[in-house]
Amino acid sequence: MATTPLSSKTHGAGGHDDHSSHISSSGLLFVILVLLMVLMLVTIWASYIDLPSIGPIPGIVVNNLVALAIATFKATLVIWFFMGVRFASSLAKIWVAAGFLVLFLMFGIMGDYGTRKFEPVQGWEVGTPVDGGETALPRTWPPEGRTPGSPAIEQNLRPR
Amino acid sequence: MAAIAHDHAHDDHGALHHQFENIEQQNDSYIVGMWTFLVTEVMFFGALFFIYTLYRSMYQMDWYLAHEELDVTLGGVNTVILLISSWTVAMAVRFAQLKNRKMVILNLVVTLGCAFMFLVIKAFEYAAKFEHHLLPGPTFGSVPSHLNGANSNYAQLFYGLYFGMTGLHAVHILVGILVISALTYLWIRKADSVMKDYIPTELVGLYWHFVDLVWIFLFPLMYLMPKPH
Repeated sequence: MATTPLSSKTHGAGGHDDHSSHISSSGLLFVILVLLMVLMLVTIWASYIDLPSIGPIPGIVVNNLVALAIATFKATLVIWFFMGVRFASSLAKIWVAAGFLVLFLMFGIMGDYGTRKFEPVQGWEVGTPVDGGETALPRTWPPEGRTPGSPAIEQNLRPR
Repeated sequence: MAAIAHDHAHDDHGALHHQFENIEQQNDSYIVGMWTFLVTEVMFFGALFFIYTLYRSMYQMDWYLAHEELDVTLGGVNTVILLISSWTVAMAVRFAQLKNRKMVILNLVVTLGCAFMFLVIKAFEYAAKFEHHLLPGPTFGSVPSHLNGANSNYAQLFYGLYFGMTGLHAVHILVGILVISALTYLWIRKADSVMKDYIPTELVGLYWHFVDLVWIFLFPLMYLMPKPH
């Protein structure tokens, strides 16, 4: 793909020349700044509201998803306009996308942590260091923060 | 790639190095190279964001209570400061392309000012947390009123990540100050390396936008946890 030449002839025109489209207009950059500020206010506002649950998705998760969606949108604006990826070569675009795709994929590891309680592991049962059970957890047991009656407590499993 | 005439090459960009076909390919290589570094930074911070996600999902209520101690106003002001600095850097790159030296320097100096302001505000925030014994360590949580009823161990996990992630971010700000200062110095000295080639300004700009990018996620995750309901 041919890229726009960065030639001196286009510079003299103060960025209004057709061939200098890779120079962002100051108006656009300012609009993006204002948009980012507005989105920041929206994310603050949204964090103080208990959003309702949507179907099986609890309200707290909706709140978190909204916050992350706004942050991702803000990040996209910064990457696309401020970082000028829209003017970058296809190679650079793919590279940038791949970098963030891998970040996203990494969160698949949550599937491991989320399912460990389904599978008791010999020797990793609940116990205190004193009575022989090893633990990487804080030395208080059971931790006050855990809900009594949760499946893990009833099955005598410790969170990992 | 389009074939470009190079007869005027020396007055609008850096020298074309022999391994490149043309100036576009050379510039693309710089950009892709910088992004390669930034992608490793994404992985670097990404691991911390993963740890954050894991523990927050496990100790949602304790983390919510612990996070209430953070100052949303200061965090918000710092967000505004970083967004403005990101904009001034974008403007500096634009003026570097337009060869408007004075405006480049002005924008870079404003960026530096923003970076310093960010660190000063962060220092005040940290100082308050130290005073309240919220720095992970032997005396963590010795003033229980500042835990807001959160389990001390889980609150300590939260503050470990708070200091770890915002601290690492602050280190990036410091490095940014150094790099932007060096760039500003080169512009003030009218160095050919920046005057004839916008790429150095562009690459420093990419770095600074990345620092802003990390904060865009840190701010809502650390300061704006919704109440579990």
